[in-house]
Amino acid sequence: MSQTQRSRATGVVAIVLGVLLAALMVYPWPQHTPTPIIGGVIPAPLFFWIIWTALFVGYVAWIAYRWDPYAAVARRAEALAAQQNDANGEER
Amino acid sequence: MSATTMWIALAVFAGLLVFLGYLGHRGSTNTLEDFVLGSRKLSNIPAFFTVTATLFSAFSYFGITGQFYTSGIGAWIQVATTAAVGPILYFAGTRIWVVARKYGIVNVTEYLTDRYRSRWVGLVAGVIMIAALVPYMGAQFRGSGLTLEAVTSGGIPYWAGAVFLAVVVTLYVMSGGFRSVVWTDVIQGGLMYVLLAIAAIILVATHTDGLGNLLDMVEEQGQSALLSNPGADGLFGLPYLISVLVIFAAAHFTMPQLQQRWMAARSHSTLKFMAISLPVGTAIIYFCLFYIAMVGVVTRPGDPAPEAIYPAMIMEVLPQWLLLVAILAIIAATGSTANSIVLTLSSIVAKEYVNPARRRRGKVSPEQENKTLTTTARALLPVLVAGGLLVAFFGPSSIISIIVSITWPAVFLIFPTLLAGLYWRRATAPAAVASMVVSELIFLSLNQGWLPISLGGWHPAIPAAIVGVILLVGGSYLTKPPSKEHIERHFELFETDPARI
Repeated sequence: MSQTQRSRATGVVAIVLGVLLAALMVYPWPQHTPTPIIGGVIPAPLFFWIIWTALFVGYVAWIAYRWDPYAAVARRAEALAAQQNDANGEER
Repeated sequence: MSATTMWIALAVFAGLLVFLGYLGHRGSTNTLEDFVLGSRKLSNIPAFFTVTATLFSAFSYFGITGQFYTSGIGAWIQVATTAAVGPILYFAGTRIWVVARKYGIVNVTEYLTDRYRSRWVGLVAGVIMIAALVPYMGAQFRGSGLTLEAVTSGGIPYWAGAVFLAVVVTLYVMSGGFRSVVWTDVIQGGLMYVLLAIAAIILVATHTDGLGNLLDMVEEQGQSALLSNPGADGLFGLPYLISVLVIFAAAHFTMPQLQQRWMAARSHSTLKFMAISLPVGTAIIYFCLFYIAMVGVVTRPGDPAPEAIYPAMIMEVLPQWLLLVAILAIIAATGSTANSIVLTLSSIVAKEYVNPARRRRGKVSPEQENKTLTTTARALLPVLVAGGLLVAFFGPSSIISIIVSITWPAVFLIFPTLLAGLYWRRATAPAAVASMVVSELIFLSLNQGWLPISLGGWHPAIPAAIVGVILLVGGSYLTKPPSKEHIERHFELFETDPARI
């Protein structure tokens, strides 16, 4: 499998995961149903909302730190900015 | 609390903020990029505080507590929206960050003008943002006025509290621009987190035997609907929750004062850190506010002013010295939002409206232009703040109604134009202008009831956005895009395939 195909496959997985987690975030617990209190201190919808939100944050961390498809784009931009800073320093 | 004590505390607090503003001024250079973006050197920890302090304001203390109190647990959806902005911030945020660094762009309207090669796109987006954000700034001054009037039992009148915040914010933003805003946001943001947590712990401990007992009391009062969706008044049905997730996630990304923070990131790593840390900070604040609101439900049932329960409750339980600090934290939260808005708007007005008019009068050197722009942005600050004060004195009375009904949906409707600019080479200026103008008009008509159409629980901005996207796509195919060379100035920066670079 080429790098482009691998990246495309990862993109599809990312979209599916994102939609699934977003769906859980808008429907954390069935509506119009009795609400158990988890551990006696936190209502079930809030408990699951926290879980789904945490999973979504983990998903964003996976995109940003593990997959990081824009790493090369950012590296180029940072290298260019460093060059410009050096050039400005020399001009002064 | 006596007005004299409060005034002394406010004077000390204002002195600290103005001193921090002066520190920001010392490190600054006289360029617009430095004044509004701090020369793009925003690092992780200040970024976390300035983003959350900018986002959370009088709205968080009063509006959200009131919403948990009235409608229930569904207000937590806002935390989900800050998580959902993460992927947008990573993908679209990286693109705009790269373009802004390369071409020295300092705000989102300037990006739109450059990308679409049309002043009209930036002008229209700028008008929408100014119309949406001046009331938002006014809500902060209103929050300050209401709080100080309530805690001093009228000793500090509403107008004096509002004017106090307006003057202090103007002074320190004028002095050091973005650097001053970030320094003060770190202090104000830190104060906001610590005091909110302390207030929640003390309120729960004072009125109940713990969190479990608190929730039992809520159920015993027949308010168990507050602990599940769609909530006590049925607000948080599925269509509404989806609407809020879509609108706010996109609007968080598009908001010009937050855009400036994305653009100001020192590195890509800072941008990624902001995407991860924003929902964590939001969750901490909402967690505290939920339990504070539940204490309100059991101790102040049927309160006719749910937005005022937070300051009213802390006045009853906190010792005087801690109450003083807690009030300052509320004022800090309002100030940290107002300062970012006024700085951003001043750069938009200076770049999009004043500079083109000045250019028509004759050509000047880039250095001279930069200096004039910075001076103009500074001079505009008190004018914009005065606009916010007018809203505070004569605008709608409910803070949450201002924010939910005007600001976020209006900015959200610019998102399709922004995203198309970043991802779709074919997107054109006439289509972008038509999309923004028509979708805003539809939103306004639906929101005000001028178009009597039943939306089945969906927020009026959703159908407006759908029309906007159709117009943007259809219009772009019917009109001519900017030249390929111009478009590639942006898109060649986004190339991820090493073979094509």
